[in-house]
Amino acid sequence: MTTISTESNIDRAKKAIRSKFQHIIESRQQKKTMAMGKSKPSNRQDSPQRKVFETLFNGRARRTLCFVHSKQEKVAGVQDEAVKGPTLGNRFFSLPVELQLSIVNMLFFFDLLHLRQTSKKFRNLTIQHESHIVRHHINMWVPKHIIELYPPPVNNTPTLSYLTDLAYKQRVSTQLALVLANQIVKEMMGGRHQRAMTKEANDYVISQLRIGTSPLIFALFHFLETYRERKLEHLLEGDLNAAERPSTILSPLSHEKNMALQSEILKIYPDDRLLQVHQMYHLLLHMLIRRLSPSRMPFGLRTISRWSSQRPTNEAFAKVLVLGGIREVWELYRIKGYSNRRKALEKYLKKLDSDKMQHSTPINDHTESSSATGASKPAPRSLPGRGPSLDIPSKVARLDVDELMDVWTPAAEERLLSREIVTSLDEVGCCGHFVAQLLGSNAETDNEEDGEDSEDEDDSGDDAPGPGAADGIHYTGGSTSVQDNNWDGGDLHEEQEQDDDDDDDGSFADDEGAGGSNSV
Amino acid sequence: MSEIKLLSSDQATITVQKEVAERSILIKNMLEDVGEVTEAIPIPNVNESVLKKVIEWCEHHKGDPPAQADDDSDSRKKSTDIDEWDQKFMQVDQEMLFEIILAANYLDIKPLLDVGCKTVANMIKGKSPDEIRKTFNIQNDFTPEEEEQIRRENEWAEE
Repeated sequence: MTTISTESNIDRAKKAIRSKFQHIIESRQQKKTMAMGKSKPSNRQDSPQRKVFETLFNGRARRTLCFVHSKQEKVAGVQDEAVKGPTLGNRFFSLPVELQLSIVNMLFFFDLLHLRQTSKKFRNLTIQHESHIVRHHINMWVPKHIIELYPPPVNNTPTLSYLTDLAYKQRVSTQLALVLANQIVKEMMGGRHQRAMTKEANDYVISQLRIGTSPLIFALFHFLETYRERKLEHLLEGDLNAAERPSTILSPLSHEKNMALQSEILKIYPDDRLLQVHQMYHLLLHMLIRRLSPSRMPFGLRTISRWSSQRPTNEAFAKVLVLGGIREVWELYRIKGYSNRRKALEKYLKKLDSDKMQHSTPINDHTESSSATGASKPAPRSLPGRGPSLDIPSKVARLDVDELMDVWTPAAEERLLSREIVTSLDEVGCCGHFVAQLLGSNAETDNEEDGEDSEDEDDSGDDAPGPGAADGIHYTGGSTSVQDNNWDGGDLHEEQEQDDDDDDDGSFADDEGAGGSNSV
Repeated sequence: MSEIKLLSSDQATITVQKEVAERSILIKNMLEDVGEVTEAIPIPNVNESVLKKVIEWCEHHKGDPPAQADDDSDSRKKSTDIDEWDQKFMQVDQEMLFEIILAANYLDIKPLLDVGCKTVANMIKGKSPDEIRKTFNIQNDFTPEEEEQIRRENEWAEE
């Protein structure tokens, strides 16, 4: 045994310890609270080792102590504790602030929002340390694909409302993904193909679809939103008097300009993702059109009025996509009951028209602005989850609307080819193929042959149960698992009016049809 | 296997394998600096029952890969799951739970600190503001104006 008793050894140890403290202190966020605090060394023995320990531990203890005595504390526990005994709240707030934050940082975003609503103290905690919490959240919880599309502001610190905005978009995307998944599963199980699937397998398939499609829908959210904003920017730029001039519509951009704007946005998407987003766009459009089209069922239980006995026009869909974006798609898609959906669509279109008419109010609000750079986000107030379309700013209604065929597809196809993501558009495959891919890219490869030549949704069902039936597979939560939504499931049982017919919608899925195999 | 002794705040001496004690980065660094130790190392902030509990955790986790310092910023560990043993381990009264958190922080045992923080965080997760208030026994002390502002802020998330 070597006794450490020489001065030099102790000095060395102290030095090392000091430097460790230095390091710890520097690396901690909460520097400010460290200034004060004293603790008396209580040397009872004079063994050199002892001294080292005491130096070490007192230093450490001092650090902890000073947190306990931070001013926040005085207001909090101490008094109450004496009276009521320590409650969980008291215990929480008697922790050093850095530990309080460690706990807060373990929360999901929606829990954080709930916590902010409980009391002043919790709210202040999240306000005082907003940038720390937000940064941590961005690093820990926000999926990379979201950060890529909406990078945090470079100049100023990201705020909670930046996160809130993203969380809202993600929630919409996830929920839309869930309704879509339910719909797809319903269609592939119902109708002609009565497939016996266990509940477990059924849930598994829905989860797979939701997890697979949600980030892609999010990308479309981004695309449509950004496109709308850029259009607006350009129009207002090119039309300086637009704010005052009582014209009903801003002079539309040229077709080329629109294409250029779209191509510009598409550049943000990584090559390996673009194809999937492209496929998603068509799946989504396909599903949306089906959902808003009358069924072929001969005996409608309700009387279908004339306007709803036909499919909405392309222009209507284009308006929903270009002016309303994914949020509007979701608002419409989620509504239960075909005629309710049609009514909502009519209402939305009427609202746009009336906005256009009353455009004369000057353009002063930026309610809808949420630029891709994320600079100064609007308050969450501008993100109502309910009451579809009631707050569309009138200026959006003044935008010209692209032909439905000119939204996304031409620009995306051009980029797919020019980046050599596909060598031929045939490789894009049909919606059914895409669904099968989402359900497990390896398991269905042998089914590809069968799936290729068919273009209806049910055949995706033929492909799909293969991997889906392999139940017991534990999918690991993908990027969308930040918050679980439980809002639906009822849709499965709810409607009978959509049978497994497939009619004129082939014209929009212009990438459908026979094609080579797809390798993604 | 060499052993060291720890002295709790209430003067209890606990003998523990060096390897186990070194789950504490504080003790580990100190032993590296100081070398061999015969005396009991004083742990002035932690009492015997808490120290024993912490050592129990360290025993179980002595084989774990070394903690990656305190740089958690870029390890995108999504999981807030707590491993089963740890969950059981953390089934203690609230006082002990918070003592463990403080001790883990003090002794610099990051994984234990994480487990402790997660355990508290789990008391918040999935709860409505009202339920959180009940759990923490705190009062809604917002003014009506603040209430209104909060309501507007969170309107969208209600669904």
